[in-house]
Amino acid sequence: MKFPLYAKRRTPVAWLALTLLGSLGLAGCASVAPRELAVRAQLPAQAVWAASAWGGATPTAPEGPADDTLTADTAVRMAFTSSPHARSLRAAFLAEVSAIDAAAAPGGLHFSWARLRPADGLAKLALALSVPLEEWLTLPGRQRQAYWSRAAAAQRAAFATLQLERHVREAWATAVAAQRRAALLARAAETAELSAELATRYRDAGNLPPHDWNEQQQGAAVALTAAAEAGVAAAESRTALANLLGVPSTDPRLVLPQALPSPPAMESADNAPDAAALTAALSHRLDLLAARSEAMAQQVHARSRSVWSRVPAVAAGVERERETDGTRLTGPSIDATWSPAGSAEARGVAAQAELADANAATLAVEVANEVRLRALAYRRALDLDGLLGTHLTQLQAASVTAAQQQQAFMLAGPFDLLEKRRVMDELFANAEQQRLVAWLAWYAWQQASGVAL
Amino acid sequence: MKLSRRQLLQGGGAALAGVVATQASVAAAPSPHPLENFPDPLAPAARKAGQAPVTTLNGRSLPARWRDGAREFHLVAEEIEHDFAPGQAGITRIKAWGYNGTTPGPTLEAVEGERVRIYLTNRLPEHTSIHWHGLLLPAGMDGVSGLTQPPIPPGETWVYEFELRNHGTFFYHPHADELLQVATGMMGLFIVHPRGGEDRVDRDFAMLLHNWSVHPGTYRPDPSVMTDFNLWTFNSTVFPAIEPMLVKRGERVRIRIGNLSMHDHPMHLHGFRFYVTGGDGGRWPRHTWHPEVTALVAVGQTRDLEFVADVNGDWAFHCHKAHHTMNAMGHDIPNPLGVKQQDLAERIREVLPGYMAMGEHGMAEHQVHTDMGHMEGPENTMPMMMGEGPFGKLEMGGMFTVVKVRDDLPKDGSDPGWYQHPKGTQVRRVSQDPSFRLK
Ligand SMILES: [Cu+2]
Repeated sequence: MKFPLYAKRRTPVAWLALTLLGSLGLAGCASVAPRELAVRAQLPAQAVWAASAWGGATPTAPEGPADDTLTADTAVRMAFTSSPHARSLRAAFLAEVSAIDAAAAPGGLHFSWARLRPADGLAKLALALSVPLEEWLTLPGRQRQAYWSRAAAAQRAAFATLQLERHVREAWATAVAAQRRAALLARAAETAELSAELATRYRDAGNLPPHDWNEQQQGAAVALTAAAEAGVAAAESRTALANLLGVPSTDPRLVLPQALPSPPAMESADNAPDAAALTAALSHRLDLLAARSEAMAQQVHARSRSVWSRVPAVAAGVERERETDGTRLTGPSIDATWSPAGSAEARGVAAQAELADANAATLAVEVANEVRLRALAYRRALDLDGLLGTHLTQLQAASVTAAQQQQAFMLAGPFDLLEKRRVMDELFANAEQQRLVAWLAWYAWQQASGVAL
Repeated sequence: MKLSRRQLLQGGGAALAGVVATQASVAAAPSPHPLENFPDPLAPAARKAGQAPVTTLNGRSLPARWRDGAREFHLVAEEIEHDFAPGQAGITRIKAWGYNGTTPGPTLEAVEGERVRIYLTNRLPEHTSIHWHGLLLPAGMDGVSGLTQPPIPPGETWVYEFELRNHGTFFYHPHADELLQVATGMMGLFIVHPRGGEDRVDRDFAMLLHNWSVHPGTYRPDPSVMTDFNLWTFNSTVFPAIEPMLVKRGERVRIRIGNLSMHDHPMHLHGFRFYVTGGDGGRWPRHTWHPEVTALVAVGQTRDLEFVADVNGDWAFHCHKAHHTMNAMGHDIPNPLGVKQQDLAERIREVLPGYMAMGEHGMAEHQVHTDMGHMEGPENTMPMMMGEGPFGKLEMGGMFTVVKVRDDLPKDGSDPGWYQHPKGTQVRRVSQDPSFRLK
């Protein structure tokens, strides 16, 4: 197993950087510019450099907000700085690293002291000092294991951070789309209500049969129901976003833009990711890197266990005693423990290592396939977004104009026109939903490819 | 016993008297109407020799040449660009099929007893033929594709040749894929003057009635439409682009009407009583003539109306089916009359900028809006009501024009303008006169 990016940076500075970044939960916050990272986290320049290189997620400067509305980038920043989710990620990472550090500590020292006094006479003193030799002898191995364990923990933490970012972006997009949907369907309902009221006017004038009037009232009821449901959905998704950001849903910063921007364009070559794209994904996906690091840690551990499980655990030391008669005794001591379970344990550890390696290999296959799948899914979503967002809505807008012209020349009645208008808003609402699908597919694809969101 | 029409009228009144005595007394009273002594509409024409040339409104007669003992015409069937209202703001331009560049095709004029030789060149994308509607001729010249002749393929020229055995107002049209070819405008008048020259007139106007379905925003007539047409035309033209009929007072006038549309049209003339003097069966015997102001011209018929234009004025002449004096309009829209919606319209404009509530007080406001361009209509579509007169909007379209009768007409044949009413001969407002009171 080779990790070129990682292997080259097995230096204390890089380690420091990784640990710091991981502990801040910012290692994967790739869309935040390195300079900003450095300022906010007060990291040394090397750490920023390492963060840029590490994990492959290329940091890009976010676009500044065009207006006072909450952009996805701002939402991500809010989540990283103020949300309990980021805090729990940091805490979990720190706990894990502390556990690893504990396991990789140098061998200890056994010391015992006893003063035994009979009812009368001089007390007996016993002093023993011993060194558990195995703990010292296995230290280099345990440290190598800890090295990989820390790497795995940092990569997992970074991956979790990236996932948090993705969840925030998804929640943001969902809330924007839901808000727009609600607004459009509210207008559709308003149009349907106007149409129903117009029908009442026609009926009052004696010009509309009850059947037609009823149809109009039903249409308004259906549209109102849809608008109410969309309104609740908007409130729910807004609340979900606020939860992720760790702010109340009434936070004044939660002013969402009116609509989702167009999803990014796709190169035609992206339809079928080539070997380079797959290789990049395989070397950039943090969960895959974590699985590999974990496998390495297990491997180091297994190698060490295979040797040390066969020999007894030996502690060597000195003991010193003062008998009750004043005699002083001094001499070396050896304490050995041997268990027949040792070799079985070693086999178990080896199997664990094998399992971790297999898990990493399985994940690698899944990553390659996921990249292909997500690329395809995004292509389809993008096509549909183009079809709905550009084509159909333009056509529908034209049909409203046409209906308006027809009505102007008394070729068609106002009900047709109002219905066209309502249907157009409903179609725009559907188009926004499809745009959301496209954005979700985009996030999934980018993350599958190990690219920064 | 011979009764004057006056006596007949009075007799009718007397018969009613038994039922409603007061009405009978009104009918029996001397008529105060100054036009009751209306001159005999059969007064002869001023013209004493020859025939007045036929005036095909918005059209023309086809020049002929005399060769090998026959009057020769050459018709070319082809696709053409056609404008239903040339010179008007509202336009409907279509790709039509016609003859020699126009729909209707040029009017053919000949004299009874002559031999005619008519070449037909087919420049259409499909085969065609010509049927000479109402003419008495050998079966092989009747022009029914498949029955009396093979279809004339595109690119070929065929010749019809026959002797004119009857006179009257006739027309020609394809009898091959007839539904489509007539719907797209293929038709023309064929007028055969009597050899004897009896029943001369001073003005001889001719028109073909037709209906079209040009869906708003489209550019070709839809031949599949059976009844719900949206353009009603005299010689493939709608009011106000239809030329007026210019007549000098006292002249004897004939209006020849052929109907190639899919509806019957009650053609109504204001100001005069006319006689229907003939049809596509030829001239009617005099004893069958009777005065009318409206003559029904059924599908596939021609009718000749004759009258003496002895009263000056601008006199309307139109189909009496009100929807036939409209241009494109919806025929199944909810009725807005009396619907109070002005306040609602303001709210509707919030979701539909530019929305206008129309029709609460009637449809006439429509022309005001369309004339002023307040509302944009579908492309290539004329508003339903058009036309501006000396006293306001005419609110007409389709099958409507004006007979202008004057003591004198411009020598160059141009339009004399609107009629100037002599003092005291026009309706006037009284409701604002201080002394006015209704008892
Ligand atoms: Cu009519």
